[in-house]
Amino acid sequence: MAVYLTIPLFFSLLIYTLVYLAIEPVVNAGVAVASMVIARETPNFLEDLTTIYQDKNLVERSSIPLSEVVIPYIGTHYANLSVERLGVTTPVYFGDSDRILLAGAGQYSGSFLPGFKRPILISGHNLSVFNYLQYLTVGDKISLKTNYGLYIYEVTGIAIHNATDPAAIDLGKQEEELILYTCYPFQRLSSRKYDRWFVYAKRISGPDVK
Amino acid sequence: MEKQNIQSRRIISLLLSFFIALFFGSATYLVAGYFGFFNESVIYNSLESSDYYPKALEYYTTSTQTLTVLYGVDDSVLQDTVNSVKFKIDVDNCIHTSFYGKKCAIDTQSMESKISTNMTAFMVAEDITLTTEVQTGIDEFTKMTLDNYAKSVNIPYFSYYVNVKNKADGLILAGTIGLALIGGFLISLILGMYKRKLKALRYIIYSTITTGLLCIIVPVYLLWTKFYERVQITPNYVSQLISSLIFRGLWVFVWLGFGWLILSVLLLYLKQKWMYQNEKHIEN
Repeated sequence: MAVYLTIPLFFSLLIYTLVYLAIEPVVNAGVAVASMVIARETPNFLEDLTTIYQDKNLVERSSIPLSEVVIPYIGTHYANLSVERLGVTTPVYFGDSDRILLAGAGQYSGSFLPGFKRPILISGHNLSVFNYLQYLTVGDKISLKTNYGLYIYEVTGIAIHNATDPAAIDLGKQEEELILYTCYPFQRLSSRKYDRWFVYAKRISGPDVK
Repeated sequence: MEKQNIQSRRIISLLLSFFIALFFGSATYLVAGYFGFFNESVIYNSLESSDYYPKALEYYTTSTQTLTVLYGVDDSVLQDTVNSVKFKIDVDNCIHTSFYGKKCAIDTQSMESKISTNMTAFMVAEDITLTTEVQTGIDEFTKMTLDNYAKSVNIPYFSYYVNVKNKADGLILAGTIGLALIGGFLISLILGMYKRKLKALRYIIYSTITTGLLCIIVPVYLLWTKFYERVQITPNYVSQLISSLIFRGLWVFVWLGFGWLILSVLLLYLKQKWMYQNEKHIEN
């Protein structure tokens, strides 16, 4: 009776091997394509926004170790953006999906966190959280408060660019520039907004992440 | 000489048995591919089990809310424009028409007139004057909302799937028939080699068991690894749909494999029974 198991098992292994050898290039191509859409771990499909931000008093330091910085996941509220002169505060989330932008301002995940001496790109809707961008002027102070440090930026320029203008953003810059942008014009029910309102600011205080 | 003939016949039978398993296994993979992945009802079942409809509707709602924020209008302008029943009907319609190579046409007339009514009420409440620019804004908002709806009721990447399916359909049918016929022919060769057909049956049983194992081993391994749960395609509800489709598809392979094993057990039982009857007949 065992022969009814051993022979079919042997046949099966042989067929699998032969088929694999015959279609190996196709299998490899398939695996390569699949690896682009198959994550290493089961993704978390919960799309609820979360927060790690704690509004606490921070000790002033010139630098902080990288180990103290919690890198936020997409959809995490990790900082608050404020303009004291205008009396406004906006929650900043990591990522800039539709859901995030309905809740607050969103940081493009391809830009850097504060303190890394690299550009930070944050967007928000012009008729809600970033409506006040139109009232900012050169010299205004913008603060970005995270759990690991308070960063102050000074507005250096304001400009209107087309949404597709590559000159508007340079994420390769070797300096910490805060770039805030929103749709333009600011009026309600105005026709489609192809332009963006940009506010550029340079860092004037806050600890470096090392 | 006689002993040598028996030995040769055994080897040839084993070889034929191997090829029968190869052809039947391939044919079963094609059938399982059709019923597991390229069948319209499989799509509907996967849509249901992955909660596709409510998730896609939620995605549409969120993206349309973004439009309201962009245009500075209240959510009330979208009130009663779409509900879960209409959404499901439109998604199913789109699948059905796409399956037969037609372009999906959505009736957005009622949505358009409802948005228009809601928008008028909103403008009255907010005291907004209707200028040419505002009218252009309203027209753009309405068009974008309707376009967004039409996009949402179409399953993303579905056209690629239908393309593959259309190409695979002919291949599956011709391949299954061809492979089954070759397998059948090889069975007749084995049966022809033996005067006592019961002796030939054992080689056919090897083939059916092998076919069953071929359909079970790899799919069960893939089900065990749960690789399909790691599919990550945006929007997320598409990942879950694909995941559900792969899960259900793999189970079709496993069930067909079990079908072959049940057939093998049945053949084995019949073989034993006939052998016993033959022996009794000889004794008498």
